[in-house]
Amino acid sequence: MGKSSKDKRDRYYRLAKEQGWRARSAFKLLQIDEEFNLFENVKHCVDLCAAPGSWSQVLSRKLIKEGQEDPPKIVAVDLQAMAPLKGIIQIQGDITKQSTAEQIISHFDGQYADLVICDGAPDVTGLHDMDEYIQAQLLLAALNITTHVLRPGGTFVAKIFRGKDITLLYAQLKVFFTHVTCCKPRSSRNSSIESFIVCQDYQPPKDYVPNMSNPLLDFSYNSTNNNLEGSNRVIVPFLAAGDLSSFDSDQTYPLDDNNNYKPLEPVQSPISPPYKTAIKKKRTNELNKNN
Amino acid sequence: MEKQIIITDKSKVSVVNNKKKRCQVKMACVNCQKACKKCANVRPCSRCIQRGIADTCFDIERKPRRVGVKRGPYKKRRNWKLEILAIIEKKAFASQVTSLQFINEKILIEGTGPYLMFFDIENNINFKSFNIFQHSRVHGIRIVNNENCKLIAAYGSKSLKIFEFDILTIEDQYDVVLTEKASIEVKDWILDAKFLYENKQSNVPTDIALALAHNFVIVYNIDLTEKKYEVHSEINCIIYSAKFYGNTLDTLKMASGTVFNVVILWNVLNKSNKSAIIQEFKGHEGVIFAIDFTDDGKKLCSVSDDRTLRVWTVNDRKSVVLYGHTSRIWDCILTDRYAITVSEDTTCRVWDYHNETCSACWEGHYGKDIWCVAISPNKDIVATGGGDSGVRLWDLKDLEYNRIESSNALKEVSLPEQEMYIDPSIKDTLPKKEFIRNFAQVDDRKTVFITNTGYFLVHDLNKNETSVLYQDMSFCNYSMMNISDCKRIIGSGDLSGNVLLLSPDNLFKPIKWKAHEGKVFDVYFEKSDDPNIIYFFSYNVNNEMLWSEINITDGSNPIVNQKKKIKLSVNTVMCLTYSEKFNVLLMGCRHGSVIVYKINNDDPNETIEPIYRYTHAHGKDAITCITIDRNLSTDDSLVFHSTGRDGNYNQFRLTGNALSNNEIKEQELIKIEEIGKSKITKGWLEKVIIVNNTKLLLGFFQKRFFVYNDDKKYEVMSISCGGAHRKWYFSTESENINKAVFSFYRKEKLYAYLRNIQVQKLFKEEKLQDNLHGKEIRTIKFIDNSIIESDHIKEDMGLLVTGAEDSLLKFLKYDPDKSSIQIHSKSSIRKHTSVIKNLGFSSGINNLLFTSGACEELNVWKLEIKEDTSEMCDSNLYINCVNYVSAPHVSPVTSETRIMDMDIANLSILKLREYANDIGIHLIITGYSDSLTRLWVFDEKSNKFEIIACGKLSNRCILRTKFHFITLNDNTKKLIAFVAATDGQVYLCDCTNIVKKYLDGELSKSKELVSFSKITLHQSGINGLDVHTDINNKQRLIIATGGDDNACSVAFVDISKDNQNKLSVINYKKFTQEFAHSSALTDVKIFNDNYILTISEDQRLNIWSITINEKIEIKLIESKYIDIPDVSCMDIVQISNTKWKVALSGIGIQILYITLN
Repeated sequence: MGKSSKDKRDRYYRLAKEQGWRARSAFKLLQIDEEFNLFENVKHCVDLCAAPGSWSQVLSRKLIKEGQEDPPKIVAVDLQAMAPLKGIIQIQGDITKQSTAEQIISHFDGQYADLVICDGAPDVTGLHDMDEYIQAQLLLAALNITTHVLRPGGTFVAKIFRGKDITLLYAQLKVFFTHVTCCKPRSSRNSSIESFIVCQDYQPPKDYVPNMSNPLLDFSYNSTNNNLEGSNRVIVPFLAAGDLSSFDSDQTYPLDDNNNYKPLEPVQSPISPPYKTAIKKKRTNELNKNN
Repeated sequence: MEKQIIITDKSKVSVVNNKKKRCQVKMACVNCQKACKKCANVRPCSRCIQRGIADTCFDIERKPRRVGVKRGPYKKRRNWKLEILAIIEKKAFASQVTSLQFINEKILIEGTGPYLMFFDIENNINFKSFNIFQHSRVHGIRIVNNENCKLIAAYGSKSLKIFEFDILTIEDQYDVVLTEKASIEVKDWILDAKFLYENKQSNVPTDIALALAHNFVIVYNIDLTEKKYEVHSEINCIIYSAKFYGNTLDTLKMASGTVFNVVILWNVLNKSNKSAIIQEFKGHEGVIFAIDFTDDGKKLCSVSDDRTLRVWTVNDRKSVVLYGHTSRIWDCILTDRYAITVSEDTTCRVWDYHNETCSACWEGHYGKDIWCVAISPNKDIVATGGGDSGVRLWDLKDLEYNRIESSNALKEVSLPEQEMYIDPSIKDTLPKKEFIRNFAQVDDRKTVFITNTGYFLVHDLNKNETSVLYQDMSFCNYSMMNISDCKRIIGSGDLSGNVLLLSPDNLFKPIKWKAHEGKVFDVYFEKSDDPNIIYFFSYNVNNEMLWSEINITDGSNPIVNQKKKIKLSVNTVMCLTYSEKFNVLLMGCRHGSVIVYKINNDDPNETIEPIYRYTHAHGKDAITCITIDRNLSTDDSLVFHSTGRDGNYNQFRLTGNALSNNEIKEQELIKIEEIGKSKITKGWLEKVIIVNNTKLLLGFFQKRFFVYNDDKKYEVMSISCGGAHRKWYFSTESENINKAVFSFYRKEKLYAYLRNIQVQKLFKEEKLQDNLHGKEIRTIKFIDNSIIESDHIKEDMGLLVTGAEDSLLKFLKYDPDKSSIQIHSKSSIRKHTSVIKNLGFSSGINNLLFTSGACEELNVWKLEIKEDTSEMCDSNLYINCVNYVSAPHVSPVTSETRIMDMDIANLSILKLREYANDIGIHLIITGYSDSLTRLWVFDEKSNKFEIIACGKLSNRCILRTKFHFITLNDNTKKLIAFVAATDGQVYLCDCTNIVKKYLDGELSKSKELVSFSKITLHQSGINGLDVHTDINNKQRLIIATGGDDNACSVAFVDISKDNQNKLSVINYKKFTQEFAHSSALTDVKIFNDNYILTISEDQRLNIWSITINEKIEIKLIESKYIDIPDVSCMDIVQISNTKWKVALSGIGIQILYITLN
């Protein structure tokens, strides 16, 4: 799909470029915030899997005000490097490592975070069960590091795929948080399987000791927890975030002025995709159909 | 120092408080009961003995249990499934093929969804299928097959099952018995499994090793009762792929493909303190999706997100990097000779990695993704499984036989020495330099060619001998040439208008006559119904064509008579064909037109003129071949096929009075409809030939000539010939091209490729399982029996129509009577340019099918389905779906606006007007992504779409539209439209007056569509909407909706009419089941008056019953896991009093039968 075509089809894609967001997902966090007031009294905040950085941008614009005496501290973690952002402390590290957790805490002067957010997702393959599993593992890794850095009572927001085994994931999150809500911002397309999980009031089980070498492998359906299916399954309320006056991500909008319309360049283009060399070879005509 | 973590017991990884509940004794003793402590079943109990009060240890006295009292919390926990109210039976299934494995050279197992399907590849039969998993898909199959042991291990997600199998042969047909031996759920995603043996000599496995996604290995005993060994790799990360090598635990190695783009080869059993890593293979620029080893384990290959295949040698730094796939590569196989890869780009490539070239690019799947590939034990047959549910077989030997690369395979025919044939007496009058001007291929050994010196020479390709057939000075420097299909006559034309008929075997004397004034442009032969009558056409620069009839009953003395003169309307005829049955001559032209001529009398001197011209049959490109299809033509329609230089192969149908034997008066009544179109190549498509009922398409692409089998959709043969040629011949005796000849003329030279090989066929059909849709199926409908013309109508014919993201419209069939779960593709039509989201039937004068989707496309098709059961064999199904009319585009943002939903109302059935029958008028409601809703009328008599109303009911994207027809208490009929949008609201509109005005002819322009009521049912988008009239109250409507917010809502709405005939909602009750599913609902249907069927992205189908007392309630009565992901649409049809059939579509199709008790 070309840029202009995407612009017509997706109002948020266009809006993100107009407002200088690195990705349209910024609106999702803004709309979740409208419902949950995520940023109230947040002094320490962690953005996991931050690249390309649109959620960090939101944190930066929302939390950091001019002339603040003691500005809130925001730490962004990703495996990849990310273009710098005002007021954001960047850590290039692996969220499955103990050292990363320690590094985060050190930036907070030994204090714990009030809010942990994670918008990470793997490249989807098209095999839904596989994609959902990998996404669940990513979320559990994020949850695992969160248990190291979040203060009791803190909030955790993460992307989930509402697929066939989502109930299992809800069950796991309910172990750690008093309130778990599944939230779909209106800027996230109706047709998309993606949703966001807002976990409030972090209360780890009494005997729980955070441990990095012991990954939280997820639950499975079996005879001992049959409450995961049927009418007695774990129930997580759903909330559509963002009011109805906001743009509809499924709707086709006309380009405001067709004559003056110019497609904007993305704020940040992808950094070294895996197919870079293959594309280059194709462009230089090194690849032919039969060799 | 690096260390390896050997984990002995990690079963307590879950952090949930799994404190074991103490075991319950039947009755406690008095002491223990008082102390609320654990007691035992023996007296005295251990606690009393310990405390020295054994003498007072006796049973407590039970209070009598009061009856008729509702008890405690366990009532809520009652098993909700105890009372079975509905039985759901799985019937047909098709989805992504996720694994394939050969048992031997004759039997292949396919893993799709939860099924293991067994195929007899010699006879192309799916002889058995087993549903082995409850919640998982089969991602891998491993087999042990020897005289002592026959085992299948199948895994998917976290499940593993081991079966014993036994293949039986009953009356030449295979059967299989599968016995489940063991089953286990592990804690992580399984990527590979490997049977392990005690020692190298043993052929009965004792253990099984599993490779898991967090880069660790667990070894179980073969009964899966004991975990023998568990080891984590020192590289702690998620892996997308893993492959074992080795048959015993102490030699077992694993190659893991990490998310950090590295392949790590490591020893599973580590005996020393050293690092277990043998080698790290670095170079990939993306995630690694699959790995395979050669049999000796010395080489391995890996495929990746970076579109490369890399072949690595153990203990060597060198690697072979192969580019070619245009998208991600999902699976690979490595043999000593080839590497075989399958990709997201829907191709399977075979690589000669020793020479670093791609030997073949097989295209047999559609849409997106080939997920898996398998090779037979002898490494002869390759099987590929696609996202389109198709399973294809490929013969690796084809690479040697059917891809002709070297010029050595071509025979060059050169002119003999001049002295050999030139008559010395005329030598001086001839041009100095001589070369071949034109040629005709007689058979696989004989070629006739003409030189620029006017010599007709016969060349024997086997003996390499040339002899003179004829010489004529008038054919010097210019000559057109062609040969009849029967190869008995060669025709030629010269510069001055002479034509010549020759026998290649010199059986008759050359016949030459002056046919035209000026240069003969071209000559053609066409066979007639009589094998001894051959038609001959020649035409000149002045657009005059002569049609002669050659009677060759006497082979030594053919008689030529003029049949007709033809006035050409264009000067570049490319091909022609004649239907004797209808006396119709069809011509294909250079600029893409088909021209129709009609022969009304036997007058040979009459000049006939074109009666009809159909333009752009192949765009503006040349039509290269036209043939009549006698099987599909009927008494009043002529079906013909054409090929063109746009690379397309098209089918057309000619109807109207051109076919009758009366004089043609009204030209409008002649009609050519395109009934099929498929793009075969990006190059030129030159010809279609039918050999043993198989359609072979011939063409040129890039520097090659190819033969494509259209029935089986694969390239049978390709020859490197330098590019497209103006003059070429191809003929073959069999569809597998064991014997064939291809000759062409290039740069004044003649080349021939002769082929005579005997290849034993390893399998019956290339296509083992039909390709369905290559992308998500967005709409599915059962085809109603009333549309099917058959002498054996059954209650369930198993016919379906589907539309998908791949923009194909497909007709599918499953067999309700057979045990096979297969779904067959019967017909597919590509007309839409983007996704088909909606389908609807309506029968007026014809049976119509409406389709709509993205890019604002709305089409109507005329549908004819005939089942011919006259023959004893399987029934023949004829599906004719002709594109009738496309609705005009109306949105300002044209190309981007999507039609989100559509519903059709047949006005001849609704009878809104008592005084007219309104037959052939159909009302369509369409909801658009730009928030508009439109009412269209399609009139079959005028063949026109017209908008009669349009409205912006909601400010947001429309998701669902539906008509519902009610009769009020005073017998007024009302047509109500229901429109649902992403704002969670349902809008009700009264369409009755607008439609009536239109029918009465009082509607001058389109009206505004307004709603008389709206009801809020969901927080966000409504994905499913169904409306039903309450059986007890005909003014009460039941509206059921399913939303993106996981909820299912039911609203009871009482409709009333005021004195101005305006509708309003007078009474309204609703109930929302907020937690109907754990993910977004995608469709909802009401059935059996008070039952609701919901489907959701959580891959479950729920059945609810509606009860209405004080308030409405919906109660879950059954829930079933659906085996297809992304299920987004369903259709339900009642087949008996208590039985319904349900079709579900998403990534694949599943058919279920529901029986209510």
